[in-house]
Amino acid sequence: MSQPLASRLSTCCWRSFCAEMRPQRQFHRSMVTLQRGPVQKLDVPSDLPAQLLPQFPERYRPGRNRRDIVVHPSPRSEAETCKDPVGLVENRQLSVLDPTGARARLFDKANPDRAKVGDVLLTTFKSGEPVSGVIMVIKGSGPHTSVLLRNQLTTIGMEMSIKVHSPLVQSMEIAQRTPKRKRRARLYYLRKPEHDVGSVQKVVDQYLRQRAMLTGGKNARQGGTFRSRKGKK
Amino acid sequence: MLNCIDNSGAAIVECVAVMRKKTRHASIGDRIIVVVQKQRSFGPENAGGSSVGIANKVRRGDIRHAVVVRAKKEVQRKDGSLIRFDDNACVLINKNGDPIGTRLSSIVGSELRDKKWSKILSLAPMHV
Repeated sequence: MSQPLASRLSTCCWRSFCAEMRPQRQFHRSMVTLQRGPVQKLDVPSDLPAQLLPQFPERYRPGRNRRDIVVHPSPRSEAETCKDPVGLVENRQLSVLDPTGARARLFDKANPDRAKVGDVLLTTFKSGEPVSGVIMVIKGSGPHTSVLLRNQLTTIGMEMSIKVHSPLVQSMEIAQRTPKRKRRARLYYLRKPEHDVGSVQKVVDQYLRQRAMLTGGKNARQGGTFRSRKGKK
Repeated sequence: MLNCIDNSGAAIVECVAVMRKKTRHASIGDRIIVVVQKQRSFGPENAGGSSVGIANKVRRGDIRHAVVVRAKKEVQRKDGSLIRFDDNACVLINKNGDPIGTRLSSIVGSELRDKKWSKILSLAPMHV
């Protein structure tokens, strides 16, 4: 019982003794570092035996330059070889989708006879079904050009956005030009009931009749499918 | 609230649930559950008494199944074209999927064909 107590006492004394010693030792050390100054780096002796070399880090072995940083040449810039890659792709797609360029001309900004907003457009799909309507918006450019057509079918307003260069579109014809130039680029106001043009079926029918007269009744059937179905009912 | 475009007797219905969908929104061709809110008034027909049965197929407050045939929200077709109607409309059907009415009054979207609602399509005056 008394022995551990005595040992604890003795460690206590030992600690206090150490605490007195420690500052002295630190002082001693700092004096040494002050006196020593900067470390002089020695070169690796050139006549070192070969079996000692593996003990060195790789960069200190003879034949290795310490500052040997490899600088690779920058890769050739694709932006300089092809200035307008998007335009290139668009032209390539247009040449596939619209080889004659007639559809692109119909919506070309430079063309004075282009389709404009407010015109009545008659679109026929490859499947034979016609979609007609007033052009509300011509959106996009290049192969992405799309038109938003608005029409009323059985007194229900309907809007359809069609990609101009879609391979499913057979033909696009202007059935009626707008009598007065529209002052808006996008005629979203046509959705309001007081500005709605209503059904363009009469206009389209008249246009088809005129065209049939001019071309000798070749395409007289086109566009009449809606009415025939209505008649069936 | 949707318009009901068939001659089942309902004029305006309210959608209470969309079937077979996790989302809460229905589009063209989706089956929904509706409550009939307003009945269509078949004034002359009721007076004549000839087609009272047709007019009374559904009543106000009935819970029915229906198919959305037109939507204000645009639907993108596979060819990139969009279609948008000016109203939301539906056609009432029974539990087996057959339409309750016998004729439709206005156009329907042709998305119904992809979703196998050919009975409704054959009743419709036209589809776009």
